[in-house]
Amino acid sequence: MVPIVLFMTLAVFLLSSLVPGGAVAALLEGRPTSSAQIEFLTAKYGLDRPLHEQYLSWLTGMFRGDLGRSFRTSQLVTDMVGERLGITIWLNVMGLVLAVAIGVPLGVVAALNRGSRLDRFVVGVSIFGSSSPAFFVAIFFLWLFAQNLGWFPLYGAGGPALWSRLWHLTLPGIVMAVAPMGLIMKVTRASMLDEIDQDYVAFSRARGLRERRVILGYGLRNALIPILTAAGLIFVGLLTGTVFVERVFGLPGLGNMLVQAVITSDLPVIQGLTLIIGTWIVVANLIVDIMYAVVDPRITYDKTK
Amino acid sequence: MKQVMFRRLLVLALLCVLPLVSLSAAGRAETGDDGGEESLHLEWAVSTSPDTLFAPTYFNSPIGSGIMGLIYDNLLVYTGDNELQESLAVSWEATSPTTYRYTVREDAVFSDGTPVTVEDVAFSFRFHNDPNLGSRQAFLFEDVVSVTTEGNDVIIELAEPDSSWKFIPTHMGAYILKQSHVEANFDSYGTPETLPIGSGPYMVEEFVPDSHVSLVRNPRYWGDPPPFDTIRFPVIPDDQTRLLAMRSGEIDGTFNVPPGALQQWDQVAEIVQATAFIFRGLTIDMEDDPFDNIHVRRALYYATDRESIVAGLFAGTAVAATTLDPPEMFEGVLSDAEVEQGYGDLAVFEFDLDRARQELAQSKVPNGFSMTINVPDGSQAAIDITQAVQETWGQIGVDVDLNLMPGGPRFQLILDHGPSLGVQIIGNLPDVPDPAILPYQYYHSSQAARNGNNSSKLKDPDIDELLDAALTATDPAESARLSLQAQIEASQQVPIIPVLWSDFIFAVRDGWSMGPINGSSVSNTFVRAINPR
Repeated sequence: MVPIVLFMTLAVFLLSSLVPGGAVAALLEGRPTSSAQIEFLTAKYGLDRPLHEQYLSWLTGMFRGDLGRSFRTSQLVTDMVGERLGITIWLNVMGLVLAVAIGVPLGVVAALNRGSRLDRFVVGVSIFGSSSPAFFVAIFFLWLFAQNLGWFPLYGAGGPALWSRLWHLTLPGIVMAVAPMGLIMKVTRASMLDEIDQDYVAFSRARGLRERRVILGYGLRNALIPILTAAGLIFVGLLTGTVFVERVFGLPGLGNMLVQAVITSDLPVIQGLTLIIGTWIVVANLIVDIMYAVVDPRITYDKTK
Repeated sequence: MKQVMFRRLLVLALLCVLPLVSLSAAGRAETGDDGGEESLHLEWAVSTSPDTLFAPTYFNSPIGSGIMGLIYDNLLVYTGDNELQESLAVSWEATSPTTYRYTVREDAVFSDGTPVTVEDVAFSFRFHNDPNLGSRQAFLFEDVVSVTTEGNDVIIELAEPDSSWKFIPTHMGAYILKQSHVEANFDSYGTPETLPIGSGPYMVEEFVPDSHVSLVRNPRYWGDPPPFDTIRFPVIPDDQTRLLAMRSGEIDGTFNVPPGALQQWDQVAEIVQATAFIFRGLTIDMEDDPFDNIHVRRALYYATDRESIVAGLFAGTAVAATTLDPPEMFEGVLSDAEVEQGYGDLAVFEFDLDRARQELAQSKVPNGFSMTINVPDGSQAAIDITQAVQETWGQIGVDVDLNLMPGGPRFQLILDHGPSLGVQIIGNLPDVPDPAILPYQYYHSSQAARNGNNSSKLKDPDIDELLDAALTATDPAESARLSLQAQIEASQQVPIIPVLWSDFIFAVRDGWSMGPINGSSVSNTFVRAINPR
């Protein structure tokens, strides 16, 4: 896990450094300047040092818990990430939980009612959800639930109190869930359709087991592997959607921070975020792998085999 | 059995949704409670977070200077009526063309209760020239050779006369800093780690980057209290969300009204235009083939439909430009007749595709050519303008490929001054209302080198002479006259295609008004210009 994340930070560092121009030009924003000032800023940020020295310096700092200061905001990168990480995790977890909590039951219902109006309705909803552009959903929900109905605030993350955070982050969380929910519904429906046609389901029913146990205990459990795979991919993919949702709802999260950092070639912030996002992706995949084994005991990760 | 399953699953799904609905209903009441403090509170949306609240690490913008102008004080302020007014200085005079003396008021204190001393003022003017600090405002203070104190006076000595200097004390680069606080916390100054201490009418209560800045009234401020007890600047980057927030009354105003959505904004708010002298145009590398041929440059100018760009993309908030400085820049300095005469002498090539083709026919590329324009992807105005140009230039056989790039690397290309700068889209505004500033940046040969802004590479000794004289003239009228003459002479060579001049566009709550205000006075307590009713 650690080597993968470090490789990512190295790759991103090299790619960022290869971009012509960069941090100092971005900081100057087209304003009058002098060669002395440019040279000073270049030296101040260590950009005049060889690439390997720059990377090693960052790496050494990282192991000490120091990710440096942002070129743009002068803030410690660890502080910047710390302030924003909670919001982004909240949005992503909420998006995934809602998507699974609503998508799985509806997918099961659709599969159990194959060909019915209900099935067609659920399939329609899943297609609409998974194909709706995020910007449309975000603006529409904002207009409907925040402006017209007044149920939610229009912008901001609220105060530090849990209640305030809940109120401000619920609507963005729902927006995050819409597209993944459609995908989860589709995957669940397809997977359940495969399972309920299996012989073991017919045998279970013939043995007189309760329908609930047949469907949830056997059918859904066996259908969970592709759902877990989809959920893992969605959890990683949600990070991309966060950028847009944070922008529309005016939330100070990692997505907004990453966009600003890339625009301004703010290397310490880009590196810090690569570390966080890399860890995020690796951990998400690890959790999915563990869940596979939990759901299906036949799956093992025995090193001796 | 299936129906039972369905009902159970439906109940489960509803259980997930219902708590959210109940949460939302409770939240509405909270909004109402907050709304009760409207008369004393100002909620002013900004599209981006200020990088820092410290001028040396931040460039001028309505957002940064608008907020910082409430926290820090200046020796002088620039009023919305275009007048210089004493603020932290009780009086000032130019005792010689290169010497300025400011008498600092004795009753001013910083928001922490410590007095503002002449040493703090002197430090604030010396500070930017320290080569070890890398202040981004350093270019404003290049001419300063000494800053001394004498009693309650601060005396600033310049290396040579500078036509811009009288405005500099109003600029955000000349905010008065508390020396001991800055020196002790330089690396983190103006960040949430070290909130700034100023002597302005407000002090910072909270700064959460990318979220909001909250200010409260400074009870120790020496002057008249401004109209609001508290001010909050929420960061709302999305244009549509900002519009919805304005429509729903959650914000009282904003610095950021997109020109393309002006009609929508006009329906929900009072629109305020603040003269800002913003210039947008295209520079043409005069040493780069085929742009080294004046017929090619004229052809491109003729093929640029400036009026349509202004009407179609900027909804009446801009006017077609004919040079770098708009005529308003000369108001009160030169007579109307003189300004009219000067602008009449500019070489202007109005949109005419036939004449564009005729010019191109006289060049070595009579059938046109292909080129790339690098466009900063963060500037919608730059994207709009270059797309419009791409369309009309294509009609004379000039195929333009637009290459969207991040702003930093794109500007680095200009700073590098490589051999083929081609056509560059530029947007800029002078830091102070001095008509010599932009012409110097874009027409002086010293700027046609590495780290300079003159991306057309115009190198003309006559124009240099005019600009040098304009910058050092002590008579404002003489300086303005020389600057205008330099622009007239440059226009004959078509180093740039001027596209438009635009203003800042603000919005305030329907029923309120705002003004007088201009681009420079934004950085000096802009809230005083807001008139809530």
